[in-house]
Amino acid sequence: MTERPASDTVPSDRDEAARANAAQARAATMAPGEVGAPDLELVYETGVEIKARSQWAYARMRFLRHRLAVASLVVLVILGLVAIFAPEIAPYSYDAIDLDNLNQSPTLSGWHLFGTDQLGRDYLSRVIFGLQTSLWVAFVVALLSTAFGTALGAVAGYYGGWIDNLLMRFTDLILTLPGLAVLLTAARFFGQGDVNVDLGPLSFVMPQPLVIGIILAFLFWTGIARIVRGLFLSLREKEFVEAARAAGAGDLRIIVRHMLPNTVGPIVVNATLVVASAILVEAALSFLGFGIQPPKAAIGSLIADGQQQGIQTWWLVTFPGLVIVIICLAINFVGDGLRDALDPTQRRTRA
Amino acid sequence: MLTYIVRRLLYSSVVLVAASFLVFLFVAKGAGDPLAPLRITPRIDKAGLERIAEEKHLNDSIFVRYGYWVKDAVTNQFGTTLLTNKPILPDLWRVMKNTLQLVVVSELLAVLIAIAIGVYSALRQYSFFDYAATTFSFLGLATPVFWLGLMLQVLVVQIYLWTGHRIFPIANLNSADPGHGISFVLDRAHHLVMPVMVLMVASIAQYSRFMRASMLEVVNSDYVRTARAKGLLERQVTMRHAFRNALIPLVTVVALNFGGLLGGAIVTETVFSLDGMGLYFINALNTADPYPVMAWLMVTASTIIVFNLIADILYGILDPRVRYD
Amino acid sequence: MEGVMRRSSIALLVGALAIVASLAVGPVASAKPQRAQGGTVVFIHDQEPPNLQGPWVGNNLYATALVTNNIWYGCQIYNDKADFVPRLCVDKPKIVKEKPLTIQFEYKKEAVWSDGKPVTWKDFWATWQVFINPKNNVVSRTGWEDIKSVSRVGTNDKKVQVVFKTQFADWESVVSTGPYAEHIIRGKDMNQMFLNDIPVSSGPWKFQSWQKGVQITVVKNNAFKAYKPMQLDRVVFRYILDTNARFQALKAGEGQVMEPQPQLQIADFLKDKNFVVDQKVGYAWEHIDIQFGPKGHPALKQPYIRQALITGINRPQVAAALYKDIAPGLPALQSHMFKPFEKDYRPNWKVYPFSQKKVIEILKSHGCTGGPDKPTPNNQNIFSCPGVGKLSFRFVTTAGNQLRALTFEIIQRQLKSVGIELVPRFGTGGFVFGTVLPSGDWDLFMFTWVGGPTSNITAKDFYGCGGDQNYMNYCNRKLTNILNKVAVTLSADERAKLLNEAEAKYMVKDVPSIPMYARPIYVIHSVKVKGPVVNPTQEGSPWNVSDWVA
Repeated sequence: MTERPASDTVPSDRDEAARANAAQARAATMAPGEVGAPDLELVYETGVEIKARSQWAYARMRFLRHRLAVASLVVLVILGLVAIFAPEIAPYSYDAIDLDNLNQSPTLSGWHLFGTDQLGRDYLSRVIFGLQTSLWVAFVVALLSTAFGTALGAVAGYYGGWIDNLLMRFTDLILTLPGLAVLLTAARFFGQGDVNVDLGPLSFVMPQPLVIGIILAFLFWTGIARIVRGLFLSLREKEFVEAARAAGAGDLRIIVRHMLPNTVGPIVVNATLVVASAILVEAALSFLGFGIQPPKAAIGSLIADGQQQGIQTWWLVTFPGLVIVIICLAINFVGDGLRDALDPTQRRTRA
Repeated sequence: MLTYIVRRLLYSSVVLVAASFLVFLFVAKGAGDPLAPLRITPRIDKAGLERIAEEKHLNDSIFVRYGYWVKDAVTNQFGTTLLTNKPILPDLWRVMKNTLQLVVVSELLAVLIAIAIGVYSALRQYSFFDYAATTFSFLGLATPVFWLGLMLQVLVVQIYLWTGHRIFPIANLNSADPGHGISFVLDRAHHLVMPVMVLMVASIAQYSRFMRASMLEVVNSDYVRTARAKGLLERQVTMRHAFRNALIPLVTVVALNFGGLLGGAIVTETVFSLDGMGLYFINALNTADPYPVMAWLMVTASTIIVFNLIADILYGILDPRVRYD
Repeated sequence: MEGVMRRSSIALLVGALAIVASLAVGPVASAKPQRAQGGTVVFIHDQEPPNLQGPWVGNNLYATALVTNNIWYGCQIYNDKADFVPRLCVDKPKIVKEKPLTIQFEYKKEAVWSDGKPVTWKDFWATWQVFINPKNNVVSRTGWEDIKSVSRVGTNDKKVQVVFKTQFADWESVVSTGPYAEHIIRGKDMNQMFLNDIPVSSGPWKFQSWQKGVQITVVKNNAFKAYKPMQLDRVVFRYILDTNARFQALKAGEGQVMEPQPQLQIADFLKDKNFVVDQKVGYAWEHIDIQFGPKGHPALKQPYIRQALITGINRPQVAAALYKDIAPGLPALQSHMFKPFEKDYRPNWKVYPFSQKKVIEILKSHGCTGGPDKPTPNNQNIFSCPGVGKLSFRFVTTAGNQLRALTFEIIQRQLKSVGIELVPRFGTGGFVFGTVLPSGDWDLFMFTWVGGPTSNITAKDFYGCGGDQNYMNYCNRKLTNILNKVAVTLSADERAKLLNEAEAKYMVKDVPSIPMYARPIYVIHSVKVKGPVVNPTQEGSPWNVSDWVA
């Protein structure tokens, strides 16, 4: 096998899915590859060295020097708080129908700053609640894909041999599939409503945004799995792992206590970028009619509904679109800053 | 090398078979009944529907249905659509041709522009241009493609309404009277301007970042420093040593992306109603017909596999240190 | 080496510039208005037909009918008032005998196929054979299988006599059908015919070409003399899937005529003096079915709860709000049998005016508890009624349909404020119609019946006991008897009387289904094109294409 420098992920589309992959590609380049892999000098944005350990203070310092990242973090925190406290902050409820006030353009009267939609609902509130849903879905995606990808990558990298081979072939299987198309297929058939999970004693209703989140996570775990696997392959040869093994530590303990902490940097950076990509892909799903279904609002479905109304009601399309751009921009900057902070060897290449 | 290729292809075909079954399961099971819209049609011929369900094996188990599909795919060029008895392959070639036009033009332009931007910002690191390019690429990666397309469409229509001048068509592949020969080509090119622009933005954003980073890496590497120390002209150093080496990773990334893109730019093709692979897929999905979806998947996954392989091989050719084991 | 690199990069640059230039030159070369020589109209449509088979399984689409209606031209067609008017026939078809039902009609001398052959009784006979051949995957055989014989009258090849086995009330639809050309289909497998083209035509236009994925072109049929010939040279149907792109393309002059779904974008065209918008209420009506079967909510088997439901939904307000800008004053539908523009329309459901206070009264008087005492906007208290439990209903409809989603949100809010809860269960069309609807495992189901001028003749299929489309499991014997009688009543006036009586007397009391509104339909056309008007039937706006002028 060759190790390629980047983009193990196969974009199915230059559209949103490709963004996802682009983000992953950037993160994926952080994998140093196997020891002695031919591309060591190409680890340009990355080149993770293990010495980052116990250097959190330095990392924080480096991050704070990246002013754009800090500013973006502030923006993200504010937007995050707005989303979390949506019911308190939003001037109206997201489903407060006002049939006397349909399709108002943005106005100060009644504080409809983003106007109202086709049912007279305050659009600012809709966007805030939509933001809540979108961010929630994106976090679910980041969490699930990171957890699964890390576990799979760690096992593959730690044990190597046929286990590694098997797991990586499985990853290849997922990568061979055209990502966005598979997502659409899955979302079309499982993600159009709440799903009743019936497992005998354990039965519950899974809300639709969660279903979409799980389906999306399916696209995103491969990147992190490869990164973690690469890191583990090189880590398992290190002295401190040998030492731990000699001291009689079990596999699980070595993986969790000794090796995982050394891979936190790349994992965090990757997870950050996944959040941005997930927002974009979820928006694309919604645009194609396969995303979050009403009455729940997500940023993407707001644009999709808004565009059905045409340019007359320009605010329905413009504002949520801008919110997406701002969030994704901020997340990417923060990811950039994090990479610089957690990965000192490649600082000089940063923008 | 040859054994490597053969082994990769073998892996891939196993993967493909597994994937095809999964997708068949998704589509055939999850889609529900393709006859559903008919069942609620008043005065429907119910007995006829039952007969069709029987003929098309709709009542059989999923494994049996998959078996029929495999047989059809192998012996009958992916067979026909479920209800309209339309041969699938001719349609697929047609949309692939259209997608190829869109993708080749946009990727070619994107690569050229991205290389120019990437190299220039690497050579003038921290200059105004560098910052501008970085801002552009970050913006490009943060903007939803469909939103960008929508905004451009609105802009073009507004320009038409103000000036009476239709600068670009906003939908479809050609006008009602495309003409022949050169005028057809020009008409097609005219229709592709907007989708190409939209498709390009993300590519340029991604590739230029890539190019810049790998250029910086190379410029700062030991052998370039050595070359410079030998007293070579800066431009010689840049072109002969740095540029060529910096291209290597980009080439593989582009090859990979290209394979995926042949499956169609689903969102872009939808926004501009282009009769390409992506739109074909969306339409097939919406009619709940597993057969075109499957054919589409096989063609697309195969191109992805082939281009993965090409990327690997290219990488080996460009970088002689790579060994295939 | 250096030289090589530089030269190749220059070559690349030149190449890129050439491509950019070709893209930029494109507009100059082809930006001239598309208003073509001698009258072309570009008709923008959303869906491309899968083939040209027409009423076939896998097709049966309005998109196909738009193209083929003017190719397989009928003895009569529906005009814009949904009345039959003769086209290929000399006069309206006549009943010459009631038992057995015997019809006669005569094709005009000028009725000929585009290849010169006359349209004769043999063509109608062959068409009958197509519809009753069990091998053919036609969508519906209703009426056709009730025919006993098709023959010519005397030696007149143009005069057709059709004898029915039963008193089939909708005979006029059957005999008016545009016949297939017998000499073209003779001995052919009809399942494989007309997939990509139609070689002949008896109507104003004939098929010319189909650029798959882009457009279908039809041109004037010069052999057509049976009625006014087309003044245009051709009509091009262009297919644009994306809603927004479709409207934008019309606005930008890439097409001149469009029949849009009811969407807010139409409002923009209403104000635009470059466009004319024609609208009428159509035959498709939105309604909420109520489940009577064992899998439905037990509360719905109580008439008082069904009456509370319909009373608690402000139906006029839903219609008015959703269509405020594009169909101001769209009324709520007060009949399942007729549409507001039909002469036999009676507002039978008007007996349930919206009253939230009354809902609470009804529920409380039947011993329901736990709900609000008066209508409360942000109410969280849901009623429970004796013996039937909490009034929380599963509401099923198709996902991805914005109007339905909005309708649901309004209704949900209205009912919640009187202590009735609706839980959304949205799904894809294939799933909800294929699996959920027939299973009866739902409480309320909102969808559209797409009807036509005579679909109420088979109202028994919807509301009769065991009817084919009676997914509500609703059964009222007395109603069923009347509806069965309607299906074999030849007089339209008689049928209308029976239908209105049945609805007012039984259905309104039982409330098996809540009528919401009949959907308005639209034609938007550029002022440069004159003539298109809405036709509420399946004929579509090209029904009068002979009058179109570009």
